[in-house]
Amino acid sequence: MSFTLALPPFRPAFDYWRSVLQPGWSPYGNTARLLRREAASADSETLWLKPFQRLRDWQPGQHLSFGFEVDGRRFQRSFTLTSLPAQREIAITVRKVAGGRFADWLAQAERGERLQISEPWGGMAFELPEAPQRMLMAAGSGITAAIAQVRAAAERGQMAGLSLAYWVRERAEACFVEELHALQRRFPDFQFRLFLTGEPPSAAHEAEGRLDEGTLSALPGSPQGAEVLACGPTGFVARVEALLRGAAARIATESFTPPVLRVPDVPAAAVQLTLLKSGRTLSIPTDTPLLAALEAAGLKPEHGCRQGLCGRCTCAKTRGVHVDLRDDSAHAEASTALKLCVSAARTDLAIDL
Amino acid sequence: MPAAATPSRHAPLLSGERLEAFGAELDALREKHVRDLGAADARYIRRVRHAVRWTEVLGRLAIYGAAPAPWLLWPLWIVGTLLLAVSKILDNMELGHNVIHGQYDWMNDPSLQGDRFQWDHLCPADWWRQTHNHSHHQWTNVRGKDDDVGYGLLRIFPEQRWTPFALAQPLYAAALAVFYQTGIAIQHLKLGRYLKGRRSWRHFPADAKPLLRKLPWQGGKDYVVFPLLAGPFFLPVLLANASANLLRNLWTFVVIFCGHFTRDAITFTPAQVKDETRAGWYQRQIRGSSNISGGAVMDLMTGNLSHQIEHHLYPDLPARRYAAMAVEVKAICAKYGVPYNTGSLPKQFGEVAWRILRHAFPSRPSWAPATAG
Repeated sequence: MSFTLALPPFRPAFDYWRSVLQPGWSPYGNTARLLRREAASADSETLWLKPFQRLRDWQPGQHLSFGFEVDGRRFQRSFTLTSLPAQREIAITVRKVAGGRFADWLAQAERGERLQISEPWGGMAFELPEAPQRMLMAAGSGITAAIAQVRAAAERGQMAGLSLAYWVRERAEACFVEELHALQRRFPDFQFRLFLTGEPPSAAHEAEGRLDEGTLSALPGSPQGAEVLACGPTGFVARVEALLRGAAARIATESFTPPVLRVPDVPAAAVQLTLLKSGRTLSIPTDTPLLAALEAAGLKPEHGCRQGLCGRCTCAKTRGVHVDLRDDSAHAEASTALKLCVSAARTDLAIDL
Repeated sequence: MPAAATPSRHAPLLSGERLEAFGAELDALREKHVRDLGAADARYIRRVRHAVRWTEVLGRLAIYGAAPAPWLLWPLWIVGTLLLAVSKILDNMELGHNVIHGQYDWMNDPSLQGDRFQWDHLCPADWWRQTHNHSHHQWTNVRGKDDDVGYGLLRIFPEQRWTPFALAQPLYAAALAVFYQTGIAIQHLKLGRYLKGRRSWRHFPADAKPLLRKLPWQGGKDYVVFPLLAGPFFLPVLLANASANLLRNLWTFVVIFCGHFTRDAITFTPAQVKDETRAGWYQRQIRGSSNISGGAVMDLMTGNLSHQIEHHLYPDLPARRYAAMAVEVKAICAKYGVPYNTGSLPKQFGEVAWRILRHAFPSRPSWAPATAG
């Protein structure tokens, strides 16, 4: 039995009254208040938020995790900050994915609403000041990481040798295009090209086609000896690395995989279970409760009733889809609690054990 | 309502396919409510938390207001004491007990997670998770397994062994009611082990550490810090806080004893539950539990333990749903001929009091529940 989790007895009352007297204070970290929303493209929106505590020591292009509540349930999603560290307010630009949790939240969010926020994390930066070209390559939502770099460079007046290649399906989906044109006028050294994969180009700054051997020549700026930061879906950043590995001096990438909204109908026979606290990874069957699978692997997780009642085996899941065997309901959301004794894996899982 | 001629506790136990069909209907009811969990449940439990916090502050303010002249302002003193008692009852029952069961884990709200919630009660929440959530809920009314059957102190059922110690049990029961918070807090320690020499007292300080760590906070709050804040009017505040704790103790004792010790509640032997299926477990929960009829206020003030049957069937579903579920549970029980034990608070507590008096003296079980197909 672990006794470290329990709060001291005065804490619930203390936390309650402090958050009443000091709106925005939370015992579970920082919060941010929604100030205003602006359309960023046909299906994207820019949100301006004011953090309760100013974010400290962060770099342009870093990300923030947001906790928000939809229909009584708290979810977590991460977005790249598109504002700059000098600003008191922070901004994110989000694509409203149909059926996405954050889109559901946005649909009903009102001004002044609060979200839980994390410390800034991750992010890429240019590290080779002597490189002849600094190339940003972004696909889809990856533009949020790139625009942060462009804005930071513009603020410092260091736009010479900077280029941005941005892929979208249709131009209506593209964000920040006006702003990028304005920057081009101000800084003629800055090169920008918008690649369309779903409709023909119609302006000088536009080009056509997915990133491949053929479109390489259309890139703004020369990749020879360049430093490249690429951000987009997993397949996109893999192509950047394959195509430019020979030419570029350095390539840094960040990719995102969209959250699993669809649960695989047929589970794989065996999946990987990652135990985060002990750092172990096990191969386990998908038709066995996690508790039984862990015990079969020689582990002795804490548990009680073995029928989902007492909650002593409740454990945090950080990744993957699990099934509650009592009602066969599938749970795709990351960062939820599960009961080891009545849950089975449907995909690879990571749990806090 | 059970006919007077054959008490409903004599009803045979279901078995075989009929039992499994009965269990399947109760499973279906659970699924229906799990799918429906959402914003209404979240709003409700947060409202309960607001009520706990505000009644506490208003109660304490009223007590301070009355403290300088209690002979004159005694009505204010009483109002304050009652508000504080209400706060403690709501905190322990509708908020703490239910949240610690993990009823709101699905919300992912760190302040309402069952495995780290802390309540205004002497019993360390971690101990409660073990003695209550595990021992009592898994082994409900199984003699020798469920420590809540008489709390190792009272002989409630004729199947328990009689010793002359039982003769004075109405007195122990009264003492337990007055010090119910302490009784629950020390239940986990199983003091009998030390008294009977089965466990050395050497282990006691380590065994009792979580309790000894919580005791200064819990006792110090009501009996030192808040009275001292009143300066020279220390005593009326101390008395009000003690009265509020006493009221909470008596009320929770009454409600909880009505849950499993009424006339028609039955107990089980470990052998009976050896190969129990989920449906069999459901049946045991119903046959070992009893409800208190009342209404919305009774439901709130008992933390919905007025629906003890539904709570035992679905301990991890939000208790605010029990009243609605009870309608369906009752119908399912009627369909399968399973007795559904409910009654007013005076009736149910009268039956409990009678059991405590009657089984103080030697008694023998006059019947055993038969099993029907």
